Amino acid sequence: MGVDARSAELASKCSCPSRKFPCKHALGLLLLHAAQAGTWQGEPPPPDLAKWLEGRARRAEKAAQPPSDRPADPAAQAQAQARAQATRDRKRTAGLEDLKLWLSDLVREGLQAARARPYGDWDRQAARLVDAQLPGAARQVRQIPEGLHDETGEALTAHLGRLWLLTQGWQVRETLSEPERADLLTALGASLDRASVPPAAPQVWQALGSVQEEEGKLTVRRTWLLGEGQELALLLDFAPTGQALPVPLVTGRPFTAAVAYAPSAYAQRALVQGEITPVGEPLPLPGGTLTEMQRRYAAALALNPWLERIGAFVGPAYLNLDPPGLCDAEGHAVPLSARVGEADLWAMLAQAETRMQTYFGEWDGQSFVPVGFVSVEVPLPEAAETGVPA
Amino acid sequence: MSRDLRELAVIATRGTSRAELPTPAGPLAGALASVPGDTPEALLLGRAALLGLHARAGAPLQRAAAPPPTPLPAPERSLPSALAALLPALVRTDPALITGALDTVAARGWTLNAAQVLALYNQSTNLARTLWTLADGRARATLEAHPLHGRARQDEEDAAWAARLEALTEQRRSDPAQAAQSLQELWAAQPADRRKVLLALVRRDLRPEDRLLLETATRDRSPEVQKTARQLLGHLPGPLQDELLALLPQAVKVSGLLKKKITFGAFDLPAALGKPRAGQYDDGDLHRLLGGLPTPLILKTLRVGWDELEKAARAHHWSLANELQAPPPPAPKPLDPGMARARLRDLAGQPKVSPEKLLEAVQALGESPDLSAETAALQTALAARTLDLFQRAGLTWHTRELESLLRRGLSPDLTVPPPTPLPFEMPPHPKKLPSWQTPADWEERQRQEHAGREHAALQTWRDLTDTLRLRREWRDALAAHSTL
Repeated sequence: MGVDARSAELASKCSCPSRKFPCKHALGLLLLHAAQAGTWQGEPPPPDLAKWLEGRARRAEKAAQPPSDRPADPAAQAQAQARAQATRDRKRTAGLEDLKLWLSDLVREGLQAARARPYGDWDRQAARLVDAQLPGAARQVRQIPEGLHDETGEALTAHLGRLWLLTQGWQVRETLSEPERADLLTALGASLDRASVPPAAPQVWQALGSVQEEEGKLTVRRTWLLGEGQELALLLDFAPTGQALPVPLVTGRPFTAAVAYAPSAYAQRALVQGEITPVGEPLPLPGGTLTEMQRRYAAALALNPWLERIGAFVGPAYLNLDPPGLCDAEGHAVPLSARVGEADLWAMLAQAETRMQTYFGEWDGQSFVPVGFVSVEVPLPEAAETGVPA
Repeated sequence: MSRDLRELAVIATRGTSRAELPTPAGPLAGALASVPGDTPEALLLGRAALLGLHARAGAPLQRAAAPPPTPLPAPERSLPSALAALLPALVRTDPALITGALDTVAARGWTLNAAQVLALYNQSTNLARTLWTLADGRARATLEAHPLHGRARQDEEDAAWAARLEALTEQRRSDPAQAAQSLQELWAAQPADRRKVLLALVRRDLRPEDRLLLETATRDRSPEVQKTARQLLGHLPGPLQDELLALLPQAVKVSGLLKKKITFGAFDLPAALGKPRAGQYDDGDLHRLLGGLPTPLILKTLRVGWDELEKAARAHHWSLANELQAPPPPAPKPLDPGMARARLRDLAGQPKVSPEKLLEAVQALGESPDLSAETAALQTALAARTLDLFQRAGLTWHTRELESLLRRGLSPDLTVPPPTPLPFEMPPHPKKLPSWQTPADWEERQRQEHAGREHAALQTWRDLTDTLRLRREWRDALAAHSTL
């Protein structure tokens, strides 16, 4: 048994079966060391411990070495990347062929018969897609059981159609433009290559709010930004469930930063490049109607059929309690998402206090999710209030 | 969703092996016909993708279910934000403090907005009535459909009912005949649960004027009300009481040399007491008879003590003792304020005092004593003594009560010194330990309990300090807005 206390990161090695780390033997050794007790302190470590300590020192040295010092051949690197890309594409092609066959079998047998399937079936298919490096498609497969028991089956049929569209899009990927191909890869669940994002010029932005949700084993946070040209940008943060996400941007506080859009036919997802500098004046908020929101969503879908949601300002508008909905000044209404609980709705109504307001939120073609920002009363630009839970 | 998608969903539900795809028709026929696919499944899924996109992009907007709310003018006297910011902390700290603070808000004529009302209600639903009273016009219009409004209305009704009962009690003292008439008028309009409350009020100071009401109550729909009314009639001097007293020696037999053995015998229940309900464990002939006479009269007639009768009744059936009215405990003689203060000073200066004694001494100053009028030295000594009790006795009902009284009563400007940790002293070992506990376990337990008591004392000191700071902030914020 031994303890390596040469650096701030303590390590111990013991032959006991304890699952605690460090084990009680290592703690005892450390206590003896702290009390300067024991005759073993001046003696050299036994050979097996010496070997372990050497190994640790070697690994620490290697980890501390800066990456730029490592020899790299650009041509070899490019070749390796191309090989990896080809392997990934092969896996994805096989996975999507499998998905195509699976979807065909599903509709041949009928969704009525699929209701009797155990949950394990859907999870198995989703796991196969994850193995094929298609986590986005896997997520959509996991959503199928949610719609299985709907009487009409329309939503599920449309959902299967969306999955089918992925397989069709992959087949014709060579004919797609670069942004369209990026959208397809995003829908399939490929992570964003930060190096491929072009640099952007710094400008003033303001965080409008964020939505956090669990997706499988991941916690996802969507933060919406408003630019000085009234453009919207969406920042995505991911963390394994149970681990903390990065520090969020303060809602309603403007800042200067370079925010670059990821390649897409409908630019929405963005990355913050470099430092964030707070600035004083909050940006004026645009208004909008539900008709405009719907029109913008249709245009966005025409560019990117896999797009799930857009951010939209609706105002002057008011909330309806029963049924929960957002209504605009033109007399149109959209339902609020089921995620908006009764307590949240009451909190928003209490903030509004009989006044028409501007709401910012996410629209997915079916329901509206207010995203943590209830703007000022429209005719009076002062007295901005924040704090709508989403 | 469109008709095309509905048709497609029907095919998908049945399966393409059992149903054929329809020929595309309608405005999207061209687009649907151009969907590629060499199998029915591919065609169905391709068309589903197209129709799904069309449905998402072109979903018709609904009509608003309600017109926009009527904008109301801004309130004239909103609660200043510095004070509003302190209210949630006051709710968290002590219900008595928030009640006092809201009373001050009401006295100054300030109002709360909907967000403030909702935030405070979410912290404590008991504040519904007060919050609704303080809500401004906009808040009332916004929260009209909120459960808070219903709760406030209910609390208002309960308070009005309690006030009516209070007035009735007072009237029974001053003008019994008029009170009996009012009671009868009130009786007719009340539901069963309130009638039970009225009967309880009558029972507290039964008078001959109540006979008419009790006779009315014997014909009530509720069997419980009927039973109580019949029994109360027996409490009034008259033929029924005489009849019941005559039956008593037959039903309750006292024997033994010291007249301490009590047994219950068979008897015929008079018809005036009604028939016991079948299957009710707490309703029998004996229950009705014992409840039909004032307990002091039973004790006097049988020449037995309360303890013997209560013990025998409980031994016969546990519910039988509920029919008897325990004699009121002797009320402690209220201390003169000067004496109470002197006793408190004395106890605060003693090296050791029990939590019960100290609590009793503080409570002798009043229900919610204002200790800030005392000298700073006495207040500090009281706080130190209380923390010392936490260190020695831990968290008990008495120590908690003491802490609550100090939190509300001490001067907000007082600086309470933190408790000095007591050294651990191993108490003498018990002669015998339970079989599951070794001496080492027992010793470890003593150490843990000592650490727990120290932690409780420290936590109490933090709570006390925080409360005094909060009260100070509230006072200063009030002073800053004194001209409003």
